[in-house]
Amino acid sequence: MKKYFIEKRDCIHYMKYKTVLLSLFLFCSFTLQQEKNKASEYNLKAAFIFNFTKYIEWKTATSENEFIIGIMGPSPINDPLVEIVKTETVDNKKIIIKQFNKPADISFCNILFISQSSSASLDDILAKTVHKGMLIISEQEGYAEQGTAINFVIVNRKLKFEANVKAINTAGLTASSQLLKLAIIIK
Amino acid sequence: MKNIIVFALGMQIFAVPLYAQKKDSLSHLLQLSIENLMDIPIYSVSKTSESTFEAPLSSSVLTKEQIKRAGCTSIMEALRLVPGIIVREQTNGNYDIHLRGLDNIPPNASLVFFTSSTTLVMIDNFPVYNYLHGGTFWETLPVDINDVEKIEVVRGPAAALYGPNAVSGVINIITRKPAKDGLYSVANVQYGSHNSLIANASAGYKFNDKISAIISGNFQNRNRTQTTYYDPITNSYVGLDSLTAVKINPLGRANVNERYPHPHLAMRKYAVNGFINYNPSNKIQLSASLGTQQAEVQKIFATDSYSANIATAKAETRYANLKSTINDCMVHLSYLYGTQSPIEGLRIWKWNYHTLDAVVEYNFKKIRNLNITPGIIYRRAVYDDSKYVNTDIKEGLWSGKAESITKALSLRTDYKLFDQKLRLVAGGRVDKFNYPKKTYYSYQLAATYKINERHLIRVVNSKAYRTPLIIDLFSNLDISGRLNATQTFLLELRGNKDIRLLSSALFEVGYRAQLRDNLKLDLELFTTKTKDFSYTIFESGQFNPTGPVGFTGLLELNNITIYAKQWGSTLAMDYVEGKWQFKPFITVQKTMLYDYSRYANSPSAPPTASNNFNPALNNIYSGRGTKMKHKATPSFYGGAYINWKAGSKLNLNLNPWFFSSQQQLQSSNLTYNDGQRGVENVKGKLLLNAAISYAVTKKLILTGNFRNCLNNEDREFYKADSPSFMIFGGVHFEF
Repeated sequence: MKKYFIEKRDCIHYMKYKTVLLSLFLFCSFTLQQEKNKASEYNLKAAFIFNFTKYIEWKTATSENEFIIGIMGPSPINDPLVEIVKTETVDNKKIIIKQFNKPADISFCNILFISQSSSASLDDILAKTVHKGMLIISEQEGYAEQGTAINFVIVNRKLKFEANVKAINTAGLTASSQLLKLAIIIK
Repeated sequence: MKNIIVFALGMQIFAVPLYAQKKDSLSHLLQLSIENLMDIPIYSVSKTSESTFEAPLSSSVLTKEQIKRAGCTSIMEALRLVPGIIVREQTNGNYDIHLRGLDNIPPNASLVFFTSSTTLVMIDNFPVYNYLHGGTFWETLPVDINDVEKIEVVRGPAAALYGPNAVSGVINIITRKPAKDGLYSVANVQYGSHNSLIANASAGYKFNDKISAIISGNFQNRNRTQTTYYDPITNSYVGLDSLTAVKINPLGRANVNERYPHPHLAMRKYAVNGFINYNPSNKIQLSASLGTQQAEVQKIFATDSYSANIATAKAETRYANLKSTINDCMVHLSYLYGTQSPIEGLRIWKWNYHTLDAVVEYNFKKIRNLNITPGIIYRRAVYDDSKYVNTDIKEGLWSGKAESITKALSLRTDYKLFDQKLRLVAGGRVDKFNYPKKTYYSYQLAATYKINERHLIRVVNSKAYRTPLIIDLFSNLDISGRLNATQTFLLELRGNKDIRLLSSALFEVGYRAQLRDNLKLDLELFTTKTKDFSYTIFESGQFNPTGPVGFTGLLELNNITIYAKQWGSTLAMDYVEGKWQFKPFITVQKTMLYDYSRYANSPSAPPTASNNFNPALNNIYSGRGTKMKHKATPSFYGGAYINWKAGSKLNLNLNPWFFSSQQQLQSSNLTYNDGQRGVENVKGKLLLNAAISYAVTKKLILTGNFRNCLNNEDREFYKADSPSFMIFGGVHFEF
């Protein structure tokens, strides 16, 4: 690279570039101190989902030794959920992660998370899961209105959630009032 | 100075990771209540923005939503929303498109050298640029706005990663795939000023996660914004019949009608495409596309004595592409064939052509954080004018079959270390052409350092070559005419199979920041050196006072001494506030030319008026040691995308675009030397476009589109049509 700058007239330009580069580094050092406590979107969503399990009255009929979280479609939430499984349990039950690619594949799970990159139609997913005691969680605008129990929304860069009480109850589940107090209720 | 930089770097490396051990860890989040979790801001919302943020090269992505909201009426026009691209309108719908400039080099050249010949244009990674002269006949793109999922633009030499011709950069148009199961259809019609009709329709069906198919069609018809043509003899814009070139045409009216079948028309084109995707398993992906297109445009590309600056160009193309990825092996096959006639009515500018591209790549991911991708590439381009000209008397541009073959090996490595904070990307490529015989090596070295999730710095060093051009290698034309009452002249135009390929080297530093949750910044500082431009050189000539041929001359395509350097910076911002999105961008750059000589003759050429009758003194070498500011590339240009989503139904968009003044010089400047003919002083200008859309239902959107709202009629390209205010009404249907 140096050969472009060996000519005297270019040296000045090169120095200027060096100065700019240096300023960038210094600028970065400064802005770093401004960093606040932030989290990645899917780490947060995974933490939310784990927290939800504490506020839902799960159907007793499903009291096997496993608590199943299903993921519909490819999603970055897979990695943090796999991390959670390593250390956490729900009601002393081992957490199992299942991945589904189309509605026909869906088998019973306590929680089904519908990835925003899933290409399946929501109607097909809901038809497959209704009345089965499954908590359906989604992350797309308008999905709670269309029948998912909980839908993540981002408001001012913070993660909030909508709750469709009718959908929760139709599934045969009960959400605690503490949870609903924090939710954006969809009727 | 050096020590300070080392110190600053050291401070970054040691100080940053310490701080980066922040409370994003999952175990920490699991200890928080929902109430606390709801109070934590998210630093990255979408995967796309993350990948753009981390891209090692200077790059931008334009999405289909942005194109739709900004009311762009074509892919070419949409490129005005991308930082670092200069888009000049020639006639309604036809544009001259340059990445970072370097246009009109050498100055005072004939029109064909005005075209950008250094950008690699691709559709779904298949090259669609023209081997003829390295440029792109944009009107021959088979896809249109409806087919676009996104447009990716890489600025700067990138041949090692993308292939030859990626000298000033890459424009890759990615087509859309059906997202949801079942049927989807999109139709879009816009009608507006100057009888401009833009119609796109596509229908796709996703049978299941494995199979999907799309068929799409597009049509555009646009009239010119003026009816006159530039006449260099009178230095004025006149009707076709008053044009000197038309009046002196010895072939008469029939040939004029052949050259200008539709004088009012700027563009009429249509295309049909089919796309099929088949992914039988996660590890096997197969896709195929095929299509056909036809276009007739009036644009500025090349000219002869009997045509105006603006000439009718016709083209038809058919193509088939196949791509398969099985496990980690990717095979890409592409075949394109057609006919091009860039000066309709001039037989020597007509040819059939076909190009075959084959690429095999294998991606090794065995070692953690290291990706190695070796590749083998074979390209063959054949241009054949023998069907249209008499090759025995060398009547055609290359009078026969011209074949350019490329065999290449490439290697890409991508290595992440220090907890994936530091990323090193290295690409190398060896190209062996049938002509020129020399082996060419291009490289790309890039490093990104992610200081944390919000700040990234990067450095790039690369060198790229332009593809060997058919015109440079194979020109083989004899031009004869009357010299005087008793004698004729013969000019032999010949290509040069030993020509050195144009190359460009780049050094660049960049900085990307997510300064606030709703504010992104992308800054790049670059310097390039581009050399080995080629031009038609008057090599030698001999007068013969007695024979029937009074003068025989040799013109040869050859390298010239001129080289160009650029220093510049592009700054792009993305700011979101509620329902507003504001994306301004600007490039400031300086382009200098060194060793430029205005004389296109060798020292052994005969004395003529063009070398002041002293070829020994005035020749292609006489510019050595000189430097000058290059005025044809603007020193600043940019624009903005300003969007207001006024509610679930209404969307308003403003997209201004601007450039500073330029001066384009054409070869006739040397003939007339009056500061007017052969000169276009393009004024600095601001264009303002506005678009409004109203969603009557989720499926039906009505659009109003206002291009060039300020009605700025200043010409943007050498002796081109004046742009005018245009208004469009349209309907967009999506099911």
